[in-house]
Amino acid sequence: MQILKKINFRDYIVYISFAVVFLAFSILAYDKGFLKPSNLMNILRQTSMISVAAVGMTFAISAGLIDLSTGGVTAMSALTAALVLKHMDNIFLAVIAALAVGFISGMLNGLVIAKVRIPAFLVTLGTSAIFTGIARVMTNLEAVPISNNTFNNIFGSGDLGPISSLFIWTIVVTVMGHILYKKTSFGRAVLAVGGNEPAARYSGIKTQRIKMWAMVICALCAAFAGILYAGRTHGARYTLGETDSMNIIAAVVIGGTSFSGGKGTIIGAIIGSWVIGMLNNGLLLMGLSVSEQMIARGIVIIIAVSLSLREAKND
Amino acid sequence: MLNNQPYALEIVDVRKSFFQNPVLLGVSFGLRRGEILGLLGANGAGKSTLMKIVNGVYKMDSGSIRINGQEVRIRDSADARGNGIAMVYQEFSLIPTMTVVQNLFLAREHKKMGLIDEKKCRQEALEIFEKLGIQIDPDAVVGDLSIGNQQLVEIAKAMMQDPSVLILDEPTASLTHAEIALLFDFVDRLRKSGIAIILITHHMQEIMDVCDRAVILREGKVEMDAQVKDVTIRDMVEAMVGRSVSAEKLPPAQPINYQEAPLLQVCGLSCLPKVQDVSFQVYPREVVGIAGLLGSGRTELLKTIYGLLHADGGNVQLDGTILPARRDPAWSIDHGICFVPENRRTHGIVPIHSVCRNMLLSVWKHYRKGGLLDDRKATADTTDMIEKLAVRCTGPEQLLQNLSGGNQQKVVFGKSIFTNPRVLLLDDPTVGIDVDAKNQVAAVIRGIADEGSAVVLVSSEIEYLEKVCDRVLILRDGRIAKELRSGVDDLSETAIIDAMQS
Ligand SMILES: Nc1ncnc2c1ncn2[C@@H]1O[C@H](COP(=O)(O)OP(=O)(O)OP(=O)(O)O)[C@@H](O)[C@H]1O
Ligand SMILES: [Mg+2]
Repeated sequence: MQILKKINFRDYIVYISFAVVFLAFSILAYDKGFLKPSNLMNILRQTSMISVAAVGMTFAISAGLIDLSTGGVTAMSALTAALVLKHMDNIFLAVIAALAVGFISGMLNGLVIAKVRIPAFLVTLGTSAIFTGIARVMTNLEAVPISNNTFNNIFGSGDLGPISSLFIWTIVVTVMGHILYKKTSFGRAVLAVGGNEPAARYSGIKTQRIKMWAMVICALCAAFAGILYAGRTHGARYTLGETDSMNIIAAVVIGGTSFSGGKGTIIGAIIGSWVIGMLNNGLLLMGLSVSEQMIARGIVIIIAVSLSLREAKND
Repeated sequence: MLNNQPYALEIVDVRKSFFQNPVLLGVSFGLRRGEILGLLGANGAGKSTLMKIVNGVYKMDSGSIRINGQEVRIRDSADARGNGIAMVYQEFSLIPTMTVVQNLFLAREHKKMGLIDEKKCRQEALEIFEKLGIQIDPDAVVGDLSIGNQQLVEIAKAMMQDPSVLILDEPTASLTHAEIALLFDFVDRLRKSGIAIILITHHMQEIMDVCDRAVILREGKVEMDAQVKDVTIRDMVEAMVGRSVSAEKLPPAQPINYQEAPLLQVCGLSCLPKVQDVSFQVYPREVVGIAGLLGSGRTELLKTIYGLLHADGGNVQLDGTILPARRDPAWSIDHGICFVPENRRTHGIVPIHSVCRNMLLSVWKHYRKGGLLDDRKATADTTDMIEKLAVRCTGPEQLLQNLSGGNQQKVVFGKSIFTNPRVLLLDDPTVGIDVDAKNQVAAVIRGIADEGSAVVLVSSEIEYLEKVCDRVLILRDGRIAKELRSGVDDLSETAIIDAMQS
């Protein structure tokens, strides 16, 4: 009994959620082809954008912050990439410009949080509206097609053997995120700030600076998700990423990151994003209407999140 | 010999006010290499504030700080570290969600090619633990450690910096005897290696045992600066509070009637693995003390009685009625059982709320007038309690986070008294409060008992148990090993410690 308590239940709950959802759809949506390799790869492909953004969001939430503005950043970044490709047809510049958009947005979020000391929730609630607004005026609500097939292949539509390039990017970002999170002093500082801010300050950590960088990383990942959206859909629209915010946050929390900060994992966030991805795919396969899907998804998310928050209640 | 060396640390005419509240009015003293200086003062005298100035957490209004005769500017803890100053804070500077090793190396991890070298960090942590004689799992999450172990980790963390001046702000407040002995052993070795040490404590005996010099702060000034061998505890206490303080035993107003029905009866209570088959009774008007080493299950026992932990077996009876097994704290409070937790930071207070709000947290429903809260009555009652416990604050509206550590503890205590408990469970209520306040708290405890309540008092301060308790139970590995009755058995400190360890 005691040993069971010691093995931190919460660290594994994401795998359990994953297994349960996977099994459920394997049975319920078997005849609709849920288990077909092509469908499974399709799930990974559809989910990559959320997975990539969830890596960044893990940094923000671990530092005791949150970012509600990722949708706007994703859209701005995708549009930027598309516009640069349209006018200059330079892949390198397109990617750099899109990431720069993410960097600046994250910096803006981070500076307001760190300097003006407004809670991240409120700051990003505001910037979310600003970023979405900017994305809308960038092209006057017009979609921008991308005809550069090299870009489209590298960042979304292409495959490497049987594996989608989107999945490869997911893995690359995950590995980079994991190393930064687990193996560097920066990662430790992020966790320390989220775990106990005054104590982190006493220990000599520049807490405001760390918060700012956590927001920058979050926005950079959201911007990269925008690049992937652009590559996958061969174009950009202001609506890209619009509804992802909640899925991203849910993925991170299901993944075992403490909503109050100080504790988390990148791998968990990725698995969490796949749970969300399977839900979206499976519910659709089962032929539920959009409204029914929303309700079912909401219920499953609440169950999964409450399981992963179980431990916090014990004390 | 010592006198020829320059001061390792010199504090010159330091002044500091928080808004309108003057705390330090020109404090000066020096500290030599290889010297242990005891810094004393009542709760709120400004000890922590002064040390935080030295460590760059607060900015002084005027004055200067010299290291080895050189004036230095210390703006943040990095500056302090650069000048060889390390501090163990009264409020811990550990991150509860991280492991011991991660905490020890926080913000100064060993690196290999830009990445943290976990192996080397862990190795070095083990070495320092070995050197300090600490036995703690380096991979344990700090939040899961007992307060005593957290304190040891905190000290180890300060030692990692190889400081020349080490400041310990009430390091012993939450340690037990064995650990304190270990710590002082270690501090003594540090002194011999030439480190200058400032020790803040409210235990007078510790000053006598380990310090070379005592500096006492009162009302913002140095009231006394003397070699310890030239003064007595009585002198120091007088300098601290400005008058003499008695240390006599507090007997009950009328003798306890052990023939009467017990008020609280604990029968075969278990909460595995920490509490195993514990039975005892507490009679009306009685104060029962519980002594035991760290980890002997003291806290868990109180929590199980209170309903914070659910028992695996046995039961608790109040007035002969068995209490429901699944009761929770709200139920307990409604039925007159009240608990004062040991870890005030996480369990006792809401730091961003006022003194008044904190004190009345459990009893707001008694302060309703026509459905609304009766602020005037709340303020009046809080003001009374502030007086009764001598809480040093600017008034009921001051935020708790701006009170000194000891005064926060008094507020936690006051909060529980407000519920008018019939059974009062106290888990180390005197952690970090000054001598004078300890006496006041003792008088309040006795007063509550005299009104017919039953009090269970857990304390790491044996002499405190001796002073207030009618009976002392010795807890060992979750079981009651011995019962000592005042007036019948020997209740002296040595007797209790013997019983705890044998
Ligand atoms: N940040 C702050 N803002 C306002 N007042 C403060 C602040 N910090 C401390 N004070 C006030 O300064 C005084 C001295 O506090 P300090 O913590 O230095 O006392 P102390 O001597 O360490 O007491 P204790 O023994 O209880 O720890 C107290 O009256 C406290 O209310
Ligand atoms: Mg203090």
